[in-house]
Amino acid sequence: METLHSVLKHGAMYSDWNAFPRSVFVERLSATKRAIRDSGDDAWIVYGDAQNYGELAYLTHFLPRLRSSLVIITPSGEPVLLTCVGSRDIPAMQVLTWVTDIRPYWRLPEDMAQFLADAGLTNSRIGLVGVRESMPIGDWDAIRRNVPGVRWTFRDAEFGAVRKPDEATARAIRHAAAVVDEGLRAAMTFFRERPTFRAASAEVERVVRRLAAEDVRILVGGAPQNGYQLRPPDDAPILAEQSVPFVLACEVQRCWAEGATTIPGHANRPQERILAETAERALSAMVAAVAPETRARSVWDAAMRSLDEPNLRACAAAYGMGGGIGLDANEEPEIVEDGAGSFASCAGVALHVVLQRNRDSAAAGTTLVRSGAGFAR
Amino acid sequence: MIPAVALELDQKVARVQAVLRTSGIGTLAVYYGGQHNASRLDPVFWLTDLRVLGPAMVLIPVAGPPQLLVTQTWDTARARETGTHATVVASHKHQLISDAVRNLLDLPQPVALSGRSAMPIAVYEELQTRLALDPLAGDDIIPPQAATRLPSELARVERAGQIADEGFRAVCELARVGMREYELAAEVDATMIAAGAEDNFGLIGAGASNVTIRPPTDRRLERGDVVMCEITPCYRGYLAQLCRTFVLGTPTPQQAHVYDILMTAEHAGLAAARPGHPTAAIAKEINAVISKAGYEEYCKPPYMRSRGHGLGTGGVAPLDINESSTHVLEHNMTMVIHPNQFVPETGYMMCGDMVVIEDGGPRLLTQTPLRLFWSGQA
Repeated sequence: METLHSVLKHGAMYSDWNAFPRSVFVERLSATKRAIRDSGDDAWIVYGDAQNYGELAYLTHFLPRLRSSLVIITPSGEPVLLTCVGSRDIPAMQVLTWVTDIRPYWRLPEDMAQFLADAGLTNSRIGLVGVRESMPIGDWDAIRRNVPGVRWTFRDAEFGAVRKPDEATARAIRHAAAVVDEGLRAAMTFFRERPTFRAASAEVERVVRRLAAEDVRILVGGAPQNGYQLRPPDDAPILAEQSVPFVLACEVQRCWAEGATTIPGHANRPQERILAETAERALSAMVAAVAPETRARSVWDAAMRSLDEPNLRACAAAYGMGGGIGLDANEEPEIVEDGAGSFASCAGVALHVVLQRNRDSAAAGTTLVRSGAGFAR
Repeated sequence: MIPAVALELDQKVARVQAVLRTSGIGTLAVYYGGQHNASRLDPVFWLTDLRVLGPAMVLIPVAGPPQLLVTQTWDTARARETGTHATVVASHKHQLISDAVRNLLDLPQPVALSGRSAMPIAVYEELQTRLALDPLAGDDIIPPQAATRLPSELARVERAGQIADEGFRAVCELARVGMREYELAAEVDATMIAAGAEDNFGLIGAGASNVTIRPPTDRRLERGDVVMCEITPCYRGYLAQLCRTFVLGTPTPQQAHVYDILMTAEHAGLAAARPGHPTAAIAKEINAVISKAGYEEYCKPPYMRSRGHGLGTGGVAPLDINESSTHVLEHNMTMVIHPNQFVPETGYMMCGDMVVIEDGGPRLLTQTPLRLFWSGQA
């Protein structure tokens, strides 16, 4: 779910090499090199920034905490990681990746041009992955000016064919989902004990960050002064009688998972209960519909069929219903009404249903992880 | 909504419109991707006081109210509460550009674009195609207007400074041998969120001798560790930074000596931070103190890049403070001045404070005493 992006990833920044042994990346890199050879390109550049870095992390296990990074891969050489830090920061970056050749840059267009010149690639064919969707146009224009001899081709589709859901990623998403579950459990306690959304959310963050979350996203709703809608935690008071929809996403070891729940109010009003049950029912319908070959629209349809009121369907649609999740918080396919994409290339699928009716609101959400021929909660 | 904030937002729009008039620009289209970044100004936030959840645009015609396009229909109420007098338009991330262009065609021409440093290629190509032309360059319009803090902005930076003090207090109270670095960082985060922060540009790392500040890892704290703290809470969109060093145990005489040098350097840097003075003077004063102590070679890259930087809502003027920086300090600029330093005998130590430049000189916005901290201290 799209939430407030943080100014810096400031959680646990290390690599669990037991979960992601070097052999995982060697295999991924080999497949990428084969694709580069097949394309006829001289090299590929795989780009990521602090918000979208799935492709980059898939190959390097590296994540840009701020600004951007890229890895340059040639069919025969070792990968080179360029990251936007100072040279004194390189030792700290080395713990985040298996790539040994890490070079700092400060101004991407100039430093990338210099790198390409040093590597003898100024008159080459270079494929680009993650660039079109993420690189700022200002940088792109300057890069093209600086190396006019390079013929660029966007290779996102070709790389998409290389990037397969594997057990290492699935295991990491499962781990992240366990951290999310701990956070949801903590929310059940702290949203009854603390006076404000902010104070309760602080405790949830403490719990999940102590479990090595690299990044945390929270949306919370149900405050009358906020029109009961979801938003990042603020100083709205928690009313004991009011139910609170709570959405939590955590990133652990580069992999995201998401969950959502309704924290019941003390009044336990029937309308609240029914709405929470309706959200859970819609979620169950979605869970049952997800399979690798399923089209995203089928999952959408499953949820909509279970919601019998037009206003609830409209509400769920407005908040969105999830999509692929894993090395990025929001991956393809997005679950939308006309979603034609399937989940075949997904290691994880995030599902959520957010409902609001009058002064009641509810949320239900979970992450499914690739397991055997299907997905499991 | 706070009336003062609304007035200031109007003032900001009026300033931008004045520039548009003199530049012959009909409408400024301002884009931000929602990727918040402590070192980059978010012009959409600066203009509207809304920290967006995804891509967003503000359209500012040369006269009349602006429009704010947000990409979550369920988030428009939050947008309307900020105090902006912009018309809030609910769009969708896949329709943002088509909605913006449809509205732009009804607004004064020509159109300039602010946001090329954040707008992805694919988004720009769509904008270009739908506009059927290249928008004029508008990236240089907002940053000069955002160089100094208005009163409500300054109040937020001040509050962020107080929260930073609370964050460092948590380090002093909670750091324990055996605790993982990220666990300590989690405690600091939770403390600051509870105190009002919505975010933190924070780095906490430790070791017997450090090369530079770094993010927290799974390393367990050991007796004698030097815990480096760069604590930067964000309060209602505005950041303040505190840099301090905490020794887990009793500092060595060498550590105490080096920290004395850094404190002297910070005082020297602060003395040079006056309106009308170049920021380079701050760096020169700091470097002079540290060089005189015998560490001149460590005042240069790769050991040292800057002696501070503008900070407020993302990176703002005067940007990086080093001996070649050219910005001139102005009243109500906010920045961190930090003579953080690596020296071989102690490793990296952190020392720095957030200030606002006033007529009489800098005013500290962080109140943590300027000294070396250690565990078990009275």
